This record gives sequence, C-alpha cells and structure tokens, in this order.
Amino acid sequence: MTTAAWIVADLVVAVLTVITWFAAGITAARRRAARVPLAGAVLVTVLRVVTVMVLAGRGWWFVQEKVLFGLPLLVSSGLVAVLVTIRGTVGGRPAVVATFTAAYAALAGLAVSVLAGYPLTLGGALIAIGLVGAAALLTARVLTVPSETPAEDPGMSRRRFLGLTGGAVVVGATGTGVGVSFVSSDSGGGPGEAATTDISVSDLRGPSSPAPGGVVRRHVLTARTATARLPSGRELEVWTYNGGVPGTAITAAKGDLVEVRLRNTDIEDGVTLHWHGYDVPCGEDGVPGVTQDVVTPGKDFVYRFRADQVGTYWYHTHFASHIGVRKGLYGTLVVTPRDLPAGQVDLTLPVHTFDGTVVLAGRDDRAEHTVPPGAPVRLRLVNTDSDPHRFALAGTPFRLAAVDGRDLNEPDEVSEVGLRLTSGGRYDLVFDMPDTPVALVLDADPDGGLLLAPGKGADASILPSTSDWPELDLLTYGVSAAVPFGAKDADRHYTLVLDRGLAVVDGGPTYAHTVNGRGHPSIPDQVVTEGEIVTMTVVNRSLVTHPWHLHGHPVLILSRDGVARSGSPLWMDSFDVRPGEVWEVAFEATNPGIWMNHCHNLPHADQGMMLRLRYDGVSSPFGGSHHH
Amino acid sequence: MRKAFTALAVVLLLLVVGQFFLAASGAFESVPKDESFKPHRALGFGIVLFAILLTIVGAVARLPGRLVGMAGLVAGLALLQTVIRVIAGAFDDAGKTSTAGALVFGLHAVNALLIAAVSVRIVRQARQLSTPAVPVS
Repeated sequence: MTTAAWIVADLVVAVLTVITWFAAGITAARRRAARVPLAGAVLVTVLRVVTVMVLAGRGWWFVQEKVLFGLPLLVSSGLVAVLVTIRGTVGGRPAVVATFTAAYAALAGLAVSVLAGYPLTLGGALIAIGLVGAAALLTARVLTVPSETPAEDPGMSRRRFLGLTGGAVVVGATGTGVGVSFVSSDSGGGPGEAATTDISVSDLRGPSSPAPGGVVRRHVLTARTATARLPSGRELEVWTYNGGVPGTAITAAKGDLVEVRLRNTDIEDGVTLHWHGYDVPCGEDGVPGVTQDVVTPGKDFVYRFRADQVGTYWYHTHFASHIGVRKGLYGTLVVTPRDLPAGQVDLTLPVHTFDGTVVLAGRDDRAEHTVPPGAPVRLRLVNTDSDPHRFALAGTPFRLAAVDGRDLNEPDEVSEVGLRLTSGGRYDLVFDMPDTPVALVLDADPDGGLLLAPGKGADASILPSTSDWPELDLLTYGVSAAVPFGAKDADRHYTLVLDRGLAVVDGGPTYAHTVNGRGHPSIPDQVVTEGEIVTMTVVNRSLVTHPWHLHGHPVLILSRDGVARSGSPLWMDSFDVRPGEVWEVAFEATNPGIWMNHCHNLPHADQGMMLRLRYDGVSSPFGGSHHH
Repeated sequence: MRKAFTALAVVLLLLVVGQFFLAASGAFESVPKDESFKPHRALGFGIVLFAILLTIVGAVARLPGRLVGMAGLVAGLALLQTVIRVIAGAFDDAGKTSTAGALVFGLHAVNALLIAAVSVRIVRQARQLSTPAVPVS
C-alpha cells in the first residue's frame, strides 16, 4: 500500500474510534450493559495503534502529533473507561462520563491531526486537552439530574470541588494553549542572521546591455481584457498580454538582453511579470510587494535580464495569480542557442484550461502541421495550469531532451510512455520526423492535441489508446553523471511539511493549505547566506498533489521517498509532490534576494501555501502585503 | 435559558438550510471549485462552531442528555463533512474526479440530510420543552 493509502486508512480508523467510543458512551447512558460496544471501541483503538505504527514507518512527519498526543490521550482515557465500567454498576454515572471522555479524546486526537497537523504545538495540545476536560465536565453536569443535588449541603461537596478544580484545569490549559504562539524566522541549522541589512531588492536589477554578440530584444506587453475566439467558435472573456492568449511569445538567443516594458490598460487589481523558472536578478522577478509594486492601470514597469539560460520557460502575472493566470495572463519565453540547427521544426505548446476548455497553444481543436520526413522536431510542452496534465506522443519514439528548460544527460529513446507534466513545468520532446503521422495526445482526449503529418492527405484518423501507457519516471530516466553538490554538502537544511489545517491567512482564520502548520504570511522566512548549499525535504502529508516551485533557483532532485535519483541529473523549478511523497532536493544559494517558495497550484498558494526564502542581509522596500 | 436554546436551535436550522443553498449555488458557478465553494466552506465551519455553542448552552442549562447529545451530534456530523471531502479528494488525481472519489463524495450529501434531520428534531424537542403541553393549574 502507498503512504497515501495508509493516510486514508488511518483517517478512516480514526473516525471509527470516534464513532465506536460515542456508541459505547450512549449505550452506557441508556443504562444498558455496554460491554459489547466497549469491546468494539477497544478493538478499533488497537487497530488505530497499528495504522499509526505503519505510517510511522513511512516517516515521523506523518505521525508525530498522533504518537505524541492523540494516541496517548485516547489509550489512557480508554483504559480508564474500561476500568471504571468493569468496576462500576451498569449505567453508573462515572462509567458514562469516563466512556464519553474517551470519545472526546478520540475526537480531540482526530481534530488535532486534521485541523493542526504537523508539527504538534504545545498550544494546540493544551487547547485540545482543555476542550476534552470541558466536554467531560459538561457531560457530568448534564448527567446530574437537578433533584439529585443535595440542597442542604452546607460546605463544598466532593462533586462540586471536583467540578471547580476540573474547570480551573480546563481554563488554565486552554488559556496557556492560546497564549503559546509565536512567529520567527528559521535558520535551517545554519548560522543566525547578521544584524544589518545592507542590500535592497530594488538594487538587484538586471544588466542594461547584452553579452558580446547578442542583441537587445525589446517588447511591450500590455495587460488588458479581451475576447478570445477559439477555432471551435467558442468565445472567452480573458485577461491578456497584448490581446491574445497565450500572450506575445518572447524568444531570444543565448546572450541577448531581454527588455520588456509591462503596461496595464484595464486589469483593475494590477499585474506583474514573473519569469517562471528563469533565474533573473531578484528585482526582475515580478513579485508584487516583495520585488516591486504592482502595476495598476496606467502604470508601467520595465524588466531587463540577460538570456543566459537556454531552454523553455514561461511568464505569468504574480499578482493574485490564482485569478490572473487562470484568466489568461501568461505567455512563453524560449531561449535558443545561437547556432540553431537549420531546418528544425520547433513548436512551443503551452496548455491552459479556460472554464473547463483545454487550450493548447491557443487552440481548442487538434492543430495540424505538415513536417517533411527526416526533419528534426522539438516540441516544447508548457503546463500553465494549476493541475498536472498528461501528455503522450504516438507514432514515433522520442527523447525527453530537457525538463524545466535544462538538458538531461543522455536521455534514452522511449515510446509508448505517459508524460505527466506538473503545474508550471516544461518538457522538451525531440525526434526525427518519420514518414508516418505523429500525434501529441493531451489528457487522452482524441479531439485535442497536435498532429504532425509527413505530407498533405496523410491518413491520421487512427489514434492509439494512450491512457494505459506507463508513466515515465524522471528519477530513473537518462544516464547518471557527476553533480556539483549533494546532501552531504548541505550548509543548511529545511523541512517543509505540506498539509491542510486551521491557520491565519491574510488576517483571517481559514482551513488553509499549510506549510509546517502555518499559512502565508505567518510561515517563518527561510534564511540563507550567499554561496551556501541548501537542502530541502518536502513532505506531503495531505491528500492532494502539491507542485512545489522555488523562485530564482533550479533545484537538484536528490531522492523521492528515500530512493535516490538513478537517472540523469535532474534540475527542476516545479516538481509534483504527490500525497504521501517525500522529496529531497538541493540548491546553491547563488542569486541573492527575497524569493517566493510556494505551491504552484495557485489556489493553494492563495490559501496559505507560500513562504519566502530570504538571503541574509537583503531587505525589500516594497513592504508588506505581498500578493503573489 | 431553555428559550435561548430553542432560539439558537432555530438559528442552527436556518444555517443548515443556507448551507444547502450555498452548496447548490457553488456547484453552478464557472470559477474553480476552490473559489466557488468558499462561502460554503466558511459557513460549514460556522455550523460546527454554532453546534458546539448550542451543545454547551444545552449542557449548562441542564437540558435532557438526549437533546444535548443531538446538538453535539450535529457538530460531529458537520465536522465529518470535511473528512468526507478530504477522503473523496484522495481518490482524485490531476484535478479530475474519479469514480471512487465521486462515490465517496456522495456521502457528503447523505450526511447533509442527516444533519438537517437532526437539526429539525432538536428544534421540535426544544419547543416541546419550553412550551409545556399540559397547562399548569
């Protein structure tokens, strides 16, 4: 069973502990013999111990709060309930209260797991214990028929004393729990921060001239609303860069200077340009509130950076991006080598979903291209959505030449494989055109995708079923080679445990997508010093996929679920951490600034799953409300 | 105190009815689920908290255990709605709903009916308590 399956199993058993303990409590309250329901509750509790132990084998992050809080509370209160029931009279008040208390303990354990998660905090544990105590006291109160209370009691009865003491403990625990709360920055085991900040991100700007031999590529991108008409005839109300979706394609040759003036006509809330995966100087990164002010209607901003990285990239707005990108504020950025092979067919294919309609390179039908047999073909796949897409290439073997713009080492020729492309990620597929048709299939949809025909009139009506093709595993693909650094070189290490939980996001409590139990902007900054090697362990405790994206740096994939990469060195800027997975990645801190480190499922980022990676000594003058 | 409990129980019932409305209106919006169900999610937590409040008021007022238990049951069932959603989501992949996920999520609607039924019973029993059937002579 996968870790995700065990997480679900454990959750179901946890719900069952709540149900069975309440059932035992209700049976006892009706003054019936509660032996059978009680035995059932005990059995389910034992089962819960087993599921937690199995999960513990998959990683401490998955069980920490269960082992340290939920289970001890449940087992001890359950034990008390059993003992009191065995010794007491059938339906006696102590037995009923004790059994209900075990039920509250089961509920508290479940609530701490579902609402708070990892890591267990003293505050969370105290609040939960306080609430269990309060519930037990209230239960005792309800069970006391008013006439039973002796009216002539002169002093303090034992019952009343117990009630008051219990109440004091409850209030104390809950109060302390609420009080224990703090935010700080995390140094990841490295040296602490210097006292002074002497670099501003607004000074970390790109060069103003190209490399020798390069040219300046000037563009103006104007953000504005528009109506896009798709080949199917469907019309979409979209937000665009320069009136179309995708926005104007930006291309450059290695060494060129890219200069883009962003204007905003009528996107009321404002826009920016973020160069996804491109390691621009921090001041060009396009994060409003961190690297610049948001560009509102009538305003503009000029981005400059040297196109030193060859490969497939894309750009999009980073202001309220869960809305802006979805509505169409995206485009592609492709940097080619200076000596491009002649005759190559090079197609850039960003996929995007508008209101349920999947659009590939601006088309919602199956686009057709005529390609002469023997011609080298490069297909650049870009996923601009928040969810992953599955591609398949039918009709020819091919190589996955590059991932996230960066070339793989000796990629094998493969065929009949599924390619899962994470949110924000890019794949470059290369092959020589055969003399038969080739089809790029997207999400197993026979009507979409792309068809390459060797000549006019080629019959391409028959598409194979690609949905059962096995998924290509990037960690075993290609040939291993020396890498500049590994886990043993780490100067700092950060762990990011991704989950759902109650957290404060933008000033209000929500059921957020959390990192280490917190939501943006309350997640502590990760601090690094220039030149350091930093490793990150990214753990997904939740039951949804989180595509992780660090700005400004490619990360080297070290391992997944404890299994080291055995294929080509793999550098990515967006990697899918699926439910129950644990990824170990590393990067070199060579690009000073303040960088967002977030989930690229953009609604998740909006709901808290986002933090900042800050170089020691760097500050931002655009303070405050960083609306991604 | 009993009157207050009855009034709160009626408010709880109204909240539950409102929750059905938000579920339906969220389902027919074209924006992604995460956004269109935001009010539904918020009210869901509101109902959990409100049911807990009702339970506490009932316990403090020393209403019959059955009535207090039912208020607690609403809180528990409302919390279960989130758990059902999380488990159903685990069967889905790549943002697309799977058959297993859809089947599990169907329980969300069944459980919602249960919540509504229990809320109605609470209101009825509370009203019987606060207005004695036999006039005291």
